[in-house]
Amino acid sequence: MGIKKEMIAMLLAGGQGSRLYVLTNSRAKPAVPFGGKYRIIDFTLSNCSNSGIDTVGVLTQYKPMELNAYIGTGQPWDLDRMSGGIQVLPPYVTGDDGQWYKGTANAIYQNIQFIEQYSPKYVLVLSGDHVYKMDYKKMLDFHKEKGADVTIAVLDVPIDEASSFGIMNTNDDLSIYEFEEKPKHPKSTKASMGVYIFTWEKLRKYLIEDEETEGSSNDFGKNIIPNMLNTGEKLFAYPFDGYWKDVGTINSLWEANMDLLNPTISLNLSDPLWRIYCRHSLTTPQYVGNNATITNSMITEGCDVESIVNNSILFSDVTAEKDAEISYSVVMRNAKIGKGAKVRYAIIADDAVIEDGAIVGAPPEDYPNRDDWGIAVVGQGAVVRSGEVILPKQMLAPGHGKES
Amino acid sequence: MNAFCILFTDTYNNSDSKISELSGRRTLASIPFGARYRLIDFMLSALVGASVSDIGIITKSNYGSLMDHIGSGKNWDLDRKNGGLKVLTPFANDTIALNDNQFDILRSVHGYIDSMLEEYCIIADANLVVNLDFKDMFAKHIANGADLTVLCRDALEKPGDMELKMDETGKVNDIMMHTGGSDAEKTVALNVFLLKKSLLCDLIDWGMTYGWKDFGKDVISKKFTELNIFGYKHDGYCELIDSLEIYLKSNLEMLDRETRAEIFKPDQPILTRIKDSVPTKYGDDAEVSNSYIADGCTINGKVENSIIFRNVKVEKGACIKNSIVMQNTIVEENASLNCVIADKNARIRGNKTLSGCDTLPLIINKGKIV
Repeated sequence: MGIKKEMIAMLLAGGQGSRLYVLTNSRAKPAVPFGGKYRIIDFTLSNCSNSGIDTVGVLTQYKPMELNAYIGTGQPWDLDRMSGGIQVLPPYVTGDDGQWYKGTANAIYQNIQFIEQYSPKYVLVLSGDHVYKMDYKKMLDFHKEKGADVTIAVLDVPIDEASSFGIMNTNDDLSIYEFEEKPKHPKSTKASMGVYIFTWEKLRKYLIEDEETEGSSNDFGKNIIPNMLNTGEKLFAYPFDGYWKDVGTINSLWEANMDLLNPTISLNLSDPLWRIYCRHSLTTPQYVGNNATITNSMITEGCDVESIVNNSILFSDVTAEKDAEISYSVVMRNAKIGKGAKVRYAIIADDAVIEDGAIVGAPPEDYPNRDDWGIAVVGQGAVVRSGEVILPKQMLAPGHGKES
Repeated sequence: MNAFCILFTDTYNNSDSKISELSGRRTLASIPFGARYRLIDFMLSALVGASVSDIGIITKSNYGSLMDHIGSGKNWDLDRKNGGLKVLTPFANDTIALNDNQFDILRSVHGYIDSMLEEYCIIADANLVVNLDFKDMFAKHIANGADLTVLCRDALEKPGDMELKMDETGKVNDIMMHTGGSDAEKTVALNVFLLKKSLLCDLIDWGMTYGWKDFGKDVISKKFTELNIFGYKHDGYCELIDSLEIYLKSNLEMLDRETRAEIFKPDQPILTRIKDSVPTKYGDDAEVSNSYIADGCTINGKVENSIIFRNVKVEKGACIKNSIVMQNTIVEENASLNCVIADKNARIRGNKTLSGCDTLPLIINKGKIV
């Protein structure tokens, strides 16, 4: 059918991201905005494009509408191709066997037909939930050099954090002899990044076997990888050195945004050799007014700023009026911050309105008991009325306070 | 709108309206404007906004930056199966001498004009900063029963301008070319015309017969008694970029909220080439006020009343006032600019002080290291 490809990518983008609470009420986690003009999925899609992978299947499930619209033809990532390109793969019903994707492995299993159109030698399995820049081509070279059946990208994490990851225990040649999911007493600090290269022939066999196994969770981490390890297939760990972050919680999403303002952090978005692409909104340059004071911040096209902005990220088309203060915050597209409003240590989602004089969030110094403090979140399109106070850790649901 | 467009990217009438300082190595149409645009974006966006999707772009020389900018037309939704954007490069041959005038050029692209299926045609220059409503212009053209509608505006006339004298319906009943300027505002013709394709073909033939050169001036002055020619005035901001002084002034006028609202309308956005720049970073020593800034910049100095294009770097202690700084230019530590137009890829070394004045801005050429 299609032209033969050496390697195609399958991107798991169905994640609900339930720990992002109000930010994922109406969209899948990969569609969550990040870093002024991006969505989380832009990083993996740009990595694919920059690594020369021209065929990407995007597996969607949870609230896919916004994500589908965002991906479109794949043109922003240069993935609108005559052969291959990007294809959104939702679960579907055929006769009686239609069903949701039961697990990560089942999602790939249900799309075996899609993969076989390209007769690939290798399949790259990715997750659309992470922020990182990585050359998958180099990882493929490693996979071939080692003659591996599976290569799993690993990141060196601090030992005290290792128990919250899937940990790979390896021999000197980086071959994996043991895999432990969130071990209490980790033996190694090599954490799986959720980036796998499989030799397709092998993966296909294990997917089919797994599907026939009663009671399997149909999950890569829980089933496929342990099964392959137990059968004696060749598993290798590919060490990755660089910035990688799972932005799955409110805190980690906020931190990852703040990392962009930290010159000592190695995530460089403006590398001309490794651009992060995104779908642009049609807008104008940013206007900085006479009353504005902006320091250590990132501001995007279409903003109109008359306020104090420090240590913050403003997405496109944000309006921030006179005497307002935005500090240590992330303000997403088209939000409005009224006169004299204070937004500190907060995430303000798209289209939200913070009316004049309202207060959202507070600095941690004001809270001697740190357990009472956290990032305040205002959901998509919510309205915070004049004089209202949104406390740290508080979250407003999308559309909250909006007159119907 | 059932029309195609012939869009000129230079004036081709040997007038002084070419800004040689900025268009020495690019077409007039590809002069950068307003932090992220090029002049041609305004006309292209107006055409696309009125669903005109057959656009022939006339360009003869120095078109590197223009071609780079427009590409396949994708950013204006002009990469179409049928029609879309077409770059026409007129050439001289045995029968057509290319004398750098609009009639010779129109004659040499006759093949393109013949192949168009639309009934109407728009002839336009790409040196206006305006958000033009062609649908309204077309509706008035029909309502007036006009043969030719010409865009005009009230402005202080300059030598060479053509003043239109119109009756209360807008019909042109006399014209006057001016050799000197004046202090009073007059209604002056601009090079944007709407007419039937069949009339255009006749006019081209007349032009060849009588040796006409300039589409607007020759057609209006020689045919206004014979044809129904109407003026169409655009409400809202409209500036003709024909000198450095106007260029600087018009750019700085984008700092005014009301002017911006007249140009950058949500229902007819100004489209331009998309570049994947990161958001602009403001450092701890940034001090920015009343400025229009594109994405991709790194600002750690003082910027006041200025227009800053993509990927400009302003280092600590640098100071930019009343200036235009184009793409990729670097202003090093403690350098100071006032009323300067710094073209692309320039570098202003540390501690240098450069100053022009609002009516005579100082130009730093593309790639120049000062």
